[in-house]
Amino acid sequence: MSRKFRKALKALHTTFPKPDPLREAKFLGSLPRQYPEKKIAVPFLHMSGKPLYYGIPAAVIAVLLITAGTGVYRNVSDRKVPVLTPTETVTVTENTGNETVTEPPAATERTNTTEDTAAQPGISETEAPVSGTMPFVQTDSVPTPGTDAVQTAPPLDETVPQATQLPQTGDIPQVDTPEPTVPSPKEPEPTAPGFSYEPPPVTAFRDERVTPYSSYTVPDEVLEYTPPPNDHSALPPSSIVPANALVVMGRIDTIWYTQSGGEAWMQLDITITQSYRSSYQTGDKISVYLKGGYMSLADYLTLHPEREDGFEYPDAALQQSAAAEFGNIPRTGTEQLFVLTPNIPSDVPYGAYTGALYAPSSYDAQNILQQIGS
Amino acid sequence: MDIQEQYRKVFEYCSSRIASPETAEDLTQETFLRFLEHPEYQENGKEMQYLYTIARNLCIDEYRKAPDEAKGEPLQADRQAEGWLDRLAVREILDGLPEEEREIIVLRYVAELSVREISHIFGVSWFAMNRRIQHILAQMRRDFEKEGSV
Repeated sequence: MSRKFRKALKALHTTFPKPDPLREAKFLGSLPRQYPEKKIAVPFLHMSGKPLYYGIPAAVIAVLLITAGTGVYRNVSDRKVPVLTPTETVTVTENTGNETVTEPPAATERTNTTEDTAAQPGISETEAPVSGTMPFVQTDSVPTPGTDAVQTAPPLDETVPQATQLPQTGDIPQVDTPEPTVPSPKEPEPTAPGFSYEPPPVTAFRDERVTPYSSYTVPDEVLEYTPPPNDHSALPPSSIVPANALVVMGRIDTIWYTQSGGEAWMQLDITITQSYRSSYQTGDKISVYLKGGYMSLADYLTLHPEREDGFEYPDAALQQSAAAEFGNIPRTGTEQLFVLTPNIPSDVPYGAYTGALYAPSSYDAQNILQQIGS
Repeated sequence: MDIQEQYRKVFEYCSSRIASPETAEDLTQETFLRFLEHPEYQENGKEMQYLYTIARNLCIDEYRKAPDEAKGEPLQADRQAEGWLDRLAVREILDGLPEEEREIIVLRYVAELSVREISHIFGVSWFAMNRRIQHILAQMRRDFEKEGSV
Protein backbone atom coordinates (compact mmCIF):
# COMPACT_ATOMS: atom_id res chain seq x y z
CA MET A 1 0.00 0.00 0.00
CA SER A 2 2.83 2.35 0.89
CA ARG A 3 4.46 1.68 -2.46
CA LYS A 4 1.25 2.42 -4.34
CA PHE A 5 0.92 5.64 -2.38
CA ARG A 6 4.43 6.75 -3.27
CA LYS A 7 3.86 5.87 -6.91
CA ALA A 8 0.60 7.80 -7.00
CA LEU A 9 2.23 10.74 -5.25
CA LYS A 10 4.99 10.91 -7.84
CA ALA A 11 2.42 10.91 -10.62
CA LEU A 12 0.28 13.51 -8.89
CA HIS A 13 1.08 16.10 -11.55
CA THR A 14 -0.90 14.07 -14.08
CA THR A 15 -4.09 14.96 -12.25
CA PHE A 16 -3.58 18.65 -12.95
CA PRO A 17 -4.67 20.32 -16.15
CA LYS A 18 -2.06 21.10 -18.78
CA PRO A 19 -1.51 24.56 -20.22
CA ASP A 20 -3.07 25.41 -23.53
CA PRO A 21 -0.38 24.32 -26.03
CA LEU A 22 -1.05 27.22 -28.38
CA ARG A 23 -0.82 29.86 -25.67
CA GLU A 24 2.24 28.15 -24.25
CA ALA A 25 4.00 28.00 -27.59
CA LYS A 26 3.16 31.60 -28.40
CA PHE A 27 4.34 32.89 -25.06
CA LEU A 28 7.54 30.85 -24.86
CA GLY A 29 8.31 31.65 -28.47
CA SER A 30 8.09 35.36 -27.76
CA LEU A 31 10.48 35.28 -24.81
CA PRO A 32 13.74 35.05 -26.74
CA ARG A 33 12.72 38.14 -28.69
CA GLN A 34 11.67 40.05 -25.60
CA TYR A 35 14.72 39.11 -23.61
CA PRO A 36 17.49 38.43 -26.09
CA GLU A 37 20.12 38.95 -23.42
CA LYS A 38 18.75 36.10 -21.29
CA LYS A 39 19.59 33.42 -23.80
CA ILE A 40 16.32 31.64 -23.35
CA ALA A 41 16.26 28.33 -25.09
CA VAL A 42 12.95 26.76 -25.91
CA PRO A 43 13.94 23.38 -27.28
CA PHE A 44 11.56 21.24 -29.29
CA LEU A 45 8.66 23.52 -28.60
CA HIS A 46 6.74 22.18 -31.52
CA MET A 47 7.07 18.65 -30.14
CA SER A 48 5.01 19.32 -27.06
CA GLY A 49 3.36 16.17 -25.90
CA LYS A 50 5.03 13.98 -28.48
CA PRO A 51 7.49 11.19 -27.74
CA LEU A 52 11.12 12.13 -28.04
CA TYR A 53 11.77 9.71 -30.88
CA TYR A 54 9.52 11.80 -33.10
CA GLY A 55 12.40 14.22 -33.31
CA ILE A 56 15.05 11.72 -34.36
CA PRO A 57 14.53 12.03 -38.15
CA ALA A 58 14.51 15.80 -37.89
CA ALA A 59 17.67 15.71 -35.77
CA VAL A 60 19.44 13.43 -38.26
CA ILE A 61 18.50 15.70 -41.16
CA ALA A 62 19.61 18.74 -39.21
CA VAL A 63 23.00 17.18 -38.46
CA LEU A 64 23.48 16.25 -42.11
CA LEU A 65 22.57 19.73 -43.28
CA ILE A 66 24.86 21.38 -40.74
CA THR A 67 27.71 19.04 -41.67
CA ALA A 68 27.27 19.73 -45.36
CA GLY A 69 26.96 23.44 -44.76
CA THR A 70 30.03 23.54 -42.57
CA GLY A 71 32.04 21.61 -45.14
CA VAL A 72 31.11 23.95 -47.90
CA TYR A 73 31.83 26.96 -45.73
CA ARG A 74 35.24 25.67 -44.73
CA ASN A 75 36.12 24.76 -48.26
CA VAL A 76 35.19 28.20 -49.41
CA SER A 77 37.05 29.78 -46.51
CA ASP A 78 40.16 27.75 -47.19
CA ARG A 79 39.84 28.40 -50.90
CA LYS A 80 39.63 24.67 -51.63
CA VAL A 81 36.65 25.46 -53.73
CA PRO A 82 37.74 28.06 -56.19
CA VAL A 83 35.91 31.26 -55.62
CA LEU A 84 36.06 32.81 -58.95
CA THR A 85 36.48 36.35 -59.88
CA PRO A 86 34.16 36.63 -62.76
CA THR A 87 35.34 38.72 -65.59
CA GLU A 88 32.55 37.53 -67.73
CA THR A 89 31.87 39.73 -70.62
CA VAL A 90 28.50 39.95 -72.14
CA THR A 91 28.41 41.16 -75.60
CA VAL A 92 25.24 41.58 -77.48
CA THR A 93 25.08 42.33 -81.05
CA GLU A 94 22.09 42.80 -83.10
CA ASN A 95 21.61 43.90 -86.58
CA THR A 96 18.25 44.54 -87.91
CA GLY A 97 19.44 46.23 -91.04
CA ASN A 98 20.13 43.16 -93.05
CA GLU A 99 18.57 40.70 -90.64
CA THR A 100 21.80 38.97 -89.87
CA VAL A 101 23.04 38.45 -86.41
CA THR A 102 26.57 37.43 -85.91
CA GLU A 103 27.19 35.31 -82.91
CA PRO A 104 30.44 34.03 -81.60
CA PRO A 105 30.88 30.45 -82.67
CA ALA A 106 31.23 28.21 -79.58
CA ALA A 107 30.22 30.92 -77.26
CA THR A 108 26.54 30.46 -77.17
CA GLU A 109 26.69 28.13 -74.23
CA ARG A 110 27.82 29.05 -70.82
CA THR A 111 30.81 27.09 -69.80
CA ASN A 112 32.49 26.55 -66.55
CA THR A 113 36.16 26.29 -66.93
CA THR A 114 36.79 25.45 -63.34
CA GLU A 115 35.35 22.86 -61.06
CA ASP A 116 31.65 22.57 -61.06
CA THR A 117 30.75 25.12 -58.50
CA ALA A 118 27.15 24.85 -59.49
CA ALA A 119 27.19 21.52 -57.70
CA GLN A 120 28.10 23.26 -54.47
CA PRO A 121 24.86 24.28 -52.92
CA GLY A 122 24.87 27.34 -50.82
CA ILE A 123 27.67 29.12 -52.55
CA SER A 124 26.01 30.82 -55.40
CA GLU A 125 23.23 32.60 -53.60
CA THR A 126 24.87 33.60 -50.40
CA GLU A 127 28.46 33.86 -51.32
CA ALA A 128 28.20 35.34 -54.75
CA PRO A 129 25.58 37.98 -54.61
CA VAL A 130 27.28 39.88 -57.31
CA SER A 131 26.07 37.45 -59.88
CA GLY A 132 22.63 38.88 -59.39
CA THR A 133 23.62 41.95 -61.31
CA MET A 134 24.55 40.00 -64.34
CA PRO A 135 21.83 39.79 -66.89
CA PHE A 136 22.35 36.43 -68.46
CA VAL A 137 19.08 35.70 -70.02
CA GLN A 138 18.59 36.57 -73.65
CA THR A 139 22.21 37.37 -74.13
CA ASP A 140 25.08 35.57 -75.61
CA SER A 141 28.11 35.33 -73.50
CA VAL A 142 31.68 35.14 -74.40
CA PRO A 143 33.35 33.27 -71.61
CA THR A 144 36.74 34.38 -70.67
CA PRO A 145 39.05 31.57 -69.62
CA GLY A 146 38.89 31.09 -65.90
CA THR A 147 35.54 32.67 -65.46
CA ASP A 148 32.54 31.25 -63.84
CA ALA A 149 29.36 30.61 -65.65
CA VAL A 150 26.78 31.81 -63.28
CA GLN A 151 24.08 29.23 -63.65
CA THR A 152 22.33 30.24 -60.50
CA ALA A 153 22.14 33.90 -61.23
CA PRO A 154 18.92 35.51 -60.10
CA PRO A 155 16.51 37.01 -62.57
CA LEU A 156 17.26 40.13 -64.45
CA ASP A 157 18.18 43.14 -62.46
CA GLU A 158 16.12 46.09 -63.54
CA THR A 159 19.01 48.46 -62.97
CA VAL A 160 21.19 46.83 -65.52
CA PRO A 161 20.56 47.63 -69.11
CA GLN A 162 19.27 44.67 -70.92
CA ALA A 163 19.83 43.46 -74.36
CA THR A 164 16.21 43.82 -75.23
CA GLN A 165 16.44 47.54 -74.61
CA LEU A 166 18.98 48.08 -77.28
CA PRO A 167 18.08 50.24 -80.22
CA GLN A 168 15.96 48.44 -82.68
CA THR A 169 16.37 50.70 -85.62
CA GLY A 170 17.61 49.40 -88.84
CA ASP A 171 20.20 52.15 -89.16
CA ILE A 172 22.63 50.47 -86.91
CA PRO A 173 25.47 49.17 -88.94
CA GLN A 174 26.58 45.62 -89.01
CA VAL A 175 28.84 44.71 -86.14
CA ASP A 176 31.77 42.48 -86.38
CA THR A 177 32.12 39.29 -84.53
CA PRO A 178 32.05 40.07 -80.86
CA GLU A 179 35.23 39.73 -78.96
CA PRO A 180 35.92 39.64 -75.27
CA THR A 181 35.99 43.22 -74.27
CA VAL A 182 38.29 44.95 -71.90
CA PRO A 183 36.91 44.64 -68.38
CA SER A 184 35.47 47.86 -67.15
CA PRO A 185 34.71 48.58 -63.52
CA LYS A 186 32.11 51.15 -64.50
CA GLU A 187 28.41 50.59 -64.40
CA PRO A 188 27.25 49.16 -67.67
CA GLU A 189 25.94 51.59 -70.15
CA PRO A 190 23.88 50.59 -73.11
CA THR A 191 26.14 51.64 -75.88
CA ALA A 192 24.79 50.38 -79.10
CA PRO A 193 25.46 48.12 -80.71
CA GLY A 194 26.96 46.24 -77.74
CA PHE A 195 28.08 46.69 -74.21
CA SER A 196 30.37 45.03 -71.84
CA TYR A 197 30.11 44.74 -68.13
CA GLU A 198 32.37 43.24 -65.57
CA PRO A 199 30.89 42.64 -62.14
CA PRO A 200 33.06 43.26 -59.11
CA PRO A 201 34.94 40.31 -57.65
CA VAL A 202 33.03 37.71 -55.74
CA THR A 203 34.29 37.34 -52.20
CA ALA A 204 33.21 34.95 -49.50
CA PHE A 205 33.42 36.85 -46.24
CA ARG A 206 34.07 34.99 -43.05
CA ASP A 207 31.75 35.85 -40.24
CA GLU A 208 33.21 34.55 -37.02
CA ARG A 209 31.45 36.80 -34.57
CA VAL A 210 30.31 35.24 -31.32
CA THR A 211 27.49 36.11 -28.97
CA PRO A 212 28.37 37.28 -25.48
CA TYR A 213 27.04 35.27 -22.57
CA SER A 214 25.44 38.37 -21.09
CA SER A 215 25.55 42.08 -21.69
CA TYR A 216 24.77 45.34 -19.97
CA THR A 217 22.97 48.30 -21.37
CA VAL A 218 24.91 51.34 -20.34
CA PRO A 219 22.67 54.26 -19.44
CA ASP A 220 23.24 57.54 -21.20
CA GLU A 221 23.30 59.39 -17.91
CA VAL A 222 26.40 60.16 -15.94
CA LEU A 223 28.06 57.18 -14.41
CA GLU A 224 27.59 57.42 -10.72
CA TYR A 225 30.46 55.36 -9.53
CA THR A 226 33.90 55.00 -10.95
CA PRO A 227 36.11 52.68 -9.00
CA PRO A 228 39.88 52.82 -9.29
CA PRO A 229 40.78 51.46 -12.71
CA ASN A 230 42.34 48.05 -12.94
CA ASP A 231 45.50 47.61 -14.85
CA HIS A 232 43.75 47.11 -18.14
CA SER A 233 45.47 49.92 -19.87
CA ALA A 234 45.74 50.20 -23.57
CA LEU A 235 48.81 49.33 -25.46
CA PRO A 236 51.99 50.82 -24.09
CA PRO A 237 54.01 52.05 -27.06
CA SER A 238 56.95 49.87 -26.17
CA SER A 239 54.96 46.67 -26.15
CA ILE A 240 56.32 43.79 -28.13
CA VAL A 241 53.99 42.15 -30.58
CA PRO A 242 53.85 38.42 -29.82
CA ALA A 243 55.18 36.24 -32.61
CA ASN A 244 51.97 34.29 -33.01
CA ALA A 245 49.66 37.27 -32.79
CA LEU A 246 47.34 38.33 -35.55
CA VAL A 247 47.55 41.93 -36.64
CA VAL A 248 44.56 43.44 -38.33
CA MET A 249 43.00 46.82 -38.81
CA GLY A 250 39.33 46.66 -38.03
CA ARG A 251 36.28 48.84 -37.91
CA ILE A 252 34.35 48.50 -34.67
CA ASP A 253 30.75 47.65 -35.54
CA THR A 254 29.30 46.78 -32.16
CA ILE A 255 30.45 46.93 -28.56
CA TRP A 256 28.94 44.62 -25.99
CA TYR A 257 29.57 45.33 -22.35
CA THR A 258 29.67 42.18 -20.33
CA GLN A 259 31.37 40.80 -17.26
CA SER A 260 33.03 37.61 -16.29
CA GLY A 261 34.44 36.60 -12.97
CA GLY A 262 33.66 40.02 -11.56
CA GLU A 263 35.68 41.81 -14.22
CA ALA A 264 34.23 43.98 -16.90
CA TRP A 265 34.86 42.84 -20.48
CA MET A 266 33.99 44.32 -23.81
CA GLN A 267 33.18 42.31 -26.85
CA LEU A 268 34.00 44.24 -29.98
CA ASP A 269 32.50 42.91 -33.18
CA ILE A 270 34.79 44.18 -35.87
CA THR A 271 34.94 44.10 -39.63
CA ILE A 272 38.44 43.72 -40.86
CA THR A 273 39.47 46.59 -43.09
CA GLN A 274 43.06 45.48 -43.57
CA SER A 275 44.87 42.34 -42.62
CA TYR A 276 48.56 42.72 -41.86
CA ARG A 277 49.28 39.35 -40.38
CA SER A 278 46.37 36.92 -40.44
CA SER A 279 44.43 34.63 -42.71
CA TYR A 280 41.53 37.03 -42.73
CA GLN A 281 40.61 39.27 -45.58
CA THR A 282 39.02 42.64 -45.79
CA GLY A 283 35.37 42.30 -44.97
CA ASP A 284 35.68 39.35 -42.61
CA LYS A 285 34.02 39.76 -39.25
CA ILE A 286 35.37 38.58 -35.93
CA SER A 287 34.81 39.21 -32.25
CA VAL A 288 37.51 40.56 -30.01
CA TYR A 289 37.42 40.57 -26.24
CA LEU A 290 39.10 43.35 -24.32
CA LYS A 291 39.15 43.73 -20.60
CA GLY A 292 37.35 46.75 -19.32
CA GLY A 293 34.06 48.43 -20.07
CA TYR A 294 31.03 48.75 -17.89
CA MET A 295 29.00 46.55 -15.64
CA SER A 296 26.00 47.32 -13.52
CA LEU A 297 26.78 48.95 -10.22
CA ALA A 298 24.70 46.34 -8.42
CA ASP A 299 26.78 43.50 -9.83
CA TYR A 300 29.98 45.38 -9.30
CA LEU A 301 29.40 45.96 -5.61
CA THR A 302 28.21 42.40 -5.16
CA LEU A 303 31.28 40.97 -6.80
CA HIS A 304 33.71 43.44 -5.22
CA PRO A 305 32.64 43.79 -1.61
CA GLU A 306 36.12 45.10 -0.78
CA ARG A 307 35.37 48.20 -2.84
CA GLU A 308 32.16 49.00 -1.03
CA ASP A 309 32.44 52.67 -0.19
CA GLY A 310 29.91 52.56 2.59
CA PHE A 311 27.30 54.52 0.72
CA GLU A 312 23.83 52.99 0.70
CA TYR A 313 22.75 53.16 -2.90
CA PRO A 314 19.03 53.22 -3.65
CA ASP A 315 17.82 50.19 -5.58
CA ALA A 316 17.04 52.27 -8.64
CA ALA A 317 20.56 53.68 -8.70
CA LEU A 318 22.02 50.22 -8.39
CA GLN A 319 20.09 48.95 -11.36
CA GLN A 320 20.49 51.97 -13.59
CA SER A 321 24.08 52.90 -12.91
CA ALA A 322 27.19 51.47 -14.34
CA ALA A 323 30.64 51.04 -12.97
CA ALA A 324 33.43 51.92 -15.33
CA GLU A 325 36.40 49.64 -15.25
CA PHE A 326 38.36 51.08 -18.08
CA GLY A 327 38.89 54.66 -19.06
CA ASN A 328 39.60 54.14 -22.72
CA ILE A 329 36.39 52.79 -24.17
CA PRO A 330 36.60 52.39 -27.93
CA ARG A 331 33.89 53.92 -30.04
CA THR A 332 31.82 52.19 -32.65
CA GLY A 333 32.49 53.16 -36.21
CA THR A 334 36.16 53.88 -35.60
CA GLU A 335 39.05 51.97 -37.06
CA GLN A 336 41.70 50.59 -34.80
CA LEU A 337 44.68 48.35 -35.10
CA PHE A 338 44.29 45.12 -33.20
CA VAL A 339 46.92 42.66 -32.17
CA LEU A 340 45.00 39.52 -31.40
CA THR A 341 45.71 36.23 -29.84
CA PRO A 342 43.56 33.15 -30.09
CA ASN A 343 44.45 32.23 -26.52
CA ILE A 344 40.97 32.12 -25.16
CA PRO A 345 40.32 32.29 -21.44
CA SER A 346 37.58 30.00 -20.23
CA ASP A 347 35.26 32.90 -19.54
CA VAL A 348 35.29 34.17 -23.11
CA PRO A 349 32.97 32.57 -25.66
CA TYR A 350 34.75 30.04 -27.83
CA GLY A 351 35.68 31.42 -31.22
CA ALA A 352 36.47 34.92 -30.06
CA TYR A 353 39.88 36.51 -29.90
CA THR A 354 41.34 38.39 -27.05
CA GLY A 355 43.15 41.59 -27.63
CA ALA A 356 46.73 40.95 -26.73
CA LEU A 357 47.35 44.55 -27.60
CA TYR A 358 45.13 47.26 -28.80
CA ALA A 359 46.35 50.41 -30.40
CA PRO A 360 43.97 53.27 -29.93
CA SER A 361 46.41 55.88 -31.19
CA SER A 362 48.16 56.22 -34.49
CA TYR A 363 51.48 56.32 -32.65
CA ASP A 364 50.83 52.89 -31.17
CA ALA A 365 49.66 51.60 -34.52
CA GLN A 366 52.85 52.76 -36.23
CA ASN A 367 54.91 51.12 -33.56
CA ILE A 368 53.14 47.81 -34.10
CA LEU A 369 53.36 47.96 -37.85
CA GLN A 370 57.07 48.74 -37.66
CA GLN A 371 57.60 45.73 -35.47
CA ILE A 372 55.93 43.36 -37.89
CA GLY A 373 57.55 45.01 -40.87
CA SER A 374 54.39 46.32 -42.53
CA MET B 1 16.52 26.14 -15.94
CA ASP B 2 14.39 24.41 -18.53
CA ILE B 3 11.89 27.16 -19.13
CA GLN B 4 9.38 24.97 -20.92
CA GLU B 5 9.35 22.42 -18.13
CA GLN B 6 9.05 25.13 -15.53
CA TYR B 7 6.24 26.77 -17.46
CA ARG B 8 4.18 23.62 -17.08
CA LYS B 9 5.06 23.19 -13.45
CA VAL B 10 4.25 26.76 -12.59
CA PHE B 11 0.98 26.38 -14.46
CA GLU B 12 0.17 23.24 -12.49
CA TYR B 13 0.98 25.05 -9.29
CA CYS B 14 -1.21 28.02 -10.24
CA SER B 15 -4.03 25.76 -11.35
CA SER B 16 -3.85 24.01 -7.98
CA ARG B 17 -4.80 27.33 -6.45
CA ILE B 18 -6.93 29.01 -9.11
CA ALA B 19 -9.98 27.38 -10.62
CA SER B 20 -9.96 28.97 -14.04
CA PRO B 21 -7.31 27.49 -16.37
CA GLU B 22 -7.23 30.75 -18.32
CA THR B 23 -6.51 32.75 -15.19
CA ALA B 24 -3.94 30.16 -14.11
CA GLU B 25 -2.19 30.52 -17.43
CA ASP B 26 -2.31 34.31 -17.21
CA LEU B 27 -0.66 34.10 -13.81
CA THR B 28 1.93 31.66 -15.15
CA GLN B 29 2.91 34.02 -17.91
CA GLU B 30 2.95 37.00 -15.58
CA THR B 31 5.22 35.00 -13.28
CA PHE B 32 7.76 34.45 -16.02
CA LEU B 33 7.63 38.03 -17.23
CA ARG B 34 8.31 39.35 -13.74
CA PHE B 35 11.01 36.79 -13.20
CA LEU B 36 12.80 37.67 -16.42
CA GLU B 37 12.45 41.40 -15.98
CA HIS B 38 14.39 41.34 -12.75
CA PRO B 39 17.92 40.06 -13.02
CA GLU B 40 18.21 40.06 -9.25
CA TYR B 41 15.73 37.17 -9.21
CA GLN B 42 18.14 35.06 -11.12
CA GLU B 43 20.81 34.61 -8.54
CA ASN B 44 22.66 31.38 -8.74
CA GLY B 45 20.77 28.52 -7.18
CA LYS B 46 17.76 30.57 -6.15
CA GLU B 47 15.84 30.75 -9.40
CA MET B 48 13.20 28.23 -8.35
CA GLN B 49 12.69 29.94 -5.04
CA TYR B 50 12.13 33.29 -6.72
CA LEU B 51 9.99 31.83 -9.48
CA TYR B 52 7.55 30.14 -7.15
CA THR B 53 7.55 33.03 -4.72
CA ILE B 54 6.37 35.26 -7.57
CA ALA B 55 3.78 32.69 -8.61
CA ARG B 56 2.58 32.30 -5.05
CA ASN B 57 2.20 36.03 -4.52
CA LEU B 58 0.32 36.39 -7.80
CA CYS B 59 -2.03 33.58 -6.79
CA ILE B 60 -2.63 35.22 -3.41
CA ASP B 61 -3.36 38.55 -5.14
CA GLU B 62 -5.75 36.82 -7.48
CA TYR B 63 -7.46 35.09 -4.62
CA ARG B 64 -7.95 38.40 -2.89
CA LYS B 65 -9.42 39.94 -6.01
CA ALA B 66 -11.82 37.08 -6.76
CA PRO B 67 -12.06 34.62 -3.89
CA ASP B 68 -14.91 32.76 -5.54
CA GLU B 69 -12.72 31.76 -8.43
CA ALA B 70 -10.01 30.27 -6.30
CA LYS B 71 -9.71 26.55 -5.61
CA GLY B 72 -11.61 23.76 -7.16
CA GLU B 73 -9.59 23.14 -10.33
CA PRO B 74 -10.96 20.35 -12.52
CA LEU B 75 -9.68 16.92 -11.72
CA GLN B 76 -7.73 15.43 -14.57
CA ALA B 77 -6.89 11.80 -15.02
CA ASP B 78 -5.94 9.67 -17.95
CA ARG B 79 -8.10 6.65 -17.34
CA GLN B 80 -6.00 4.56 -19.71
CA ALA B 81 -2.93 5.02 -17.57
CA GLU B 82 -2.00 2.45 -15.03
CA GLY B 83 -2.83 3.35 -11.45
CA TRP B 84 -5.17 6.19 -12.29
CA LEU B 85 -7.48 5.23 -9.48
CA ASP B 86 -4.66 5.53 -6.98
CA ARG B 87 -3.74 8.92 -8.37
CA LEU B 88 -7.27 10.15 -8.12
CA ALA B 89 -7.43 8.92 -4.56
CA VAL B 90 -4.25 10.76 -3.65
CA ARG B 91 -5.52 13.83 -5.42
CA GLU B 92 -8.76 13.78 -3.45
CA ILE B 93 -6.81 13.45 -0.25
CA LEU B 94 -4.67 16.36 -1.32
CA ASP B 95 -7.71 18.49 -2.04
CA GLY B 96 -8.96 17.79 1.44
CA LEU B 97 -5.82 19.15 3.09
CA PRO B 98 -5.65 22.61 4.61
CA GLU B 99 -4.57 25.25 2.08
CA GLU B 100 -0.98 25.63 3.21
CA GLU B 101 -0.32 21.90 3.54
CA ARG B 102 -1.81 21.38 0.13
CA GLU B 103 0.45 24.03 -1.32
CA ILE B 104 3.53 22.48 0.25
CA ILE B 105 2.75 19.08 -1.25
CA VAL B 106 2.11 20.62 -4.66
CA LEU B 107 5.41 22.46 -4.54
CA ARG B 108 7.23 19.32 -3.48
CA TYR B 109 5.65 16.71 -5.75
CA VAL B 110 4.16 18.63 -8.66
CA ALA B 111 6.62 21.49 -9.03
CA GLU B 112 9.37 19.19 -7.73
CA LEU B 113 11.08 21.84 -5.66
CA SER B 114 13.63 20.78 -3.10
CA VAL B 115 12.81 20.94 0.59
CA ARG B 116 15.33 23.75 0.92
CA GLU B 117 13.65 25.81 -1.78
CA ILE B 118 10.25 25.33 -0.20
CA SER B 119 11.63 26.23 3.20
CA HIS B 120 12.95 29.50 1.74
CA ILE B 121 9.56 30.28 0.19
CA PHE B 122 7.81 29.77 3.49
CA GLY B 123 10.56 31.40 5.51
CA VAL B 124 11.28 28.46 7.79
CA SER B 125 14.30 26.29 8.32
CA TRP B 126 15.02 23.22 6.28
CA PHE B 127 14.50 21.00 9.30
CA ALA B 128 11.13 22.54 10.12
CA MET B 129 9.94 22.17 6.53
CA ASN B 130 11.22 18.61 6.29
CA ARG B 131 9.41 17.65 9.49
CA ARG B 132 6.26 19.28 8.24
CA ILE B 133 6.36 17.46 4.90
CA GLN B 134 6.91 14.13 6.66
CA HIS B 135 4.00 14.87 8.91
CA ILE B 136 1.67 15.72 6.01
CA LEU B 137 2.75 12.66 4.06
CA ALA B 138 2.14 10.39 7.02
CA GLN B 139 -1.34 11.79 7.33
CA MET B 140 -2.00 11.39 3.60
CA ARG B 141 -0.69 7.83 3.65
CA ARG B 142 -3.00 6.94 6.48
CA ASP B 143 -5.96 8.39 4.60
CA PHE B 144 -4.91 6.55 1.45
CA GLU B 145 -4.73 3.22 3.26
CA LYS B 146 -8.06 3.93 4.89
CA GLU B 147 -9.67 4.57 1.49
CA GLY B 148 -8.05 1.46 0.06
CA SER B 149 -9.41 -0.71 2.79
CA VAL B 150 -12.96 0.54 2.34
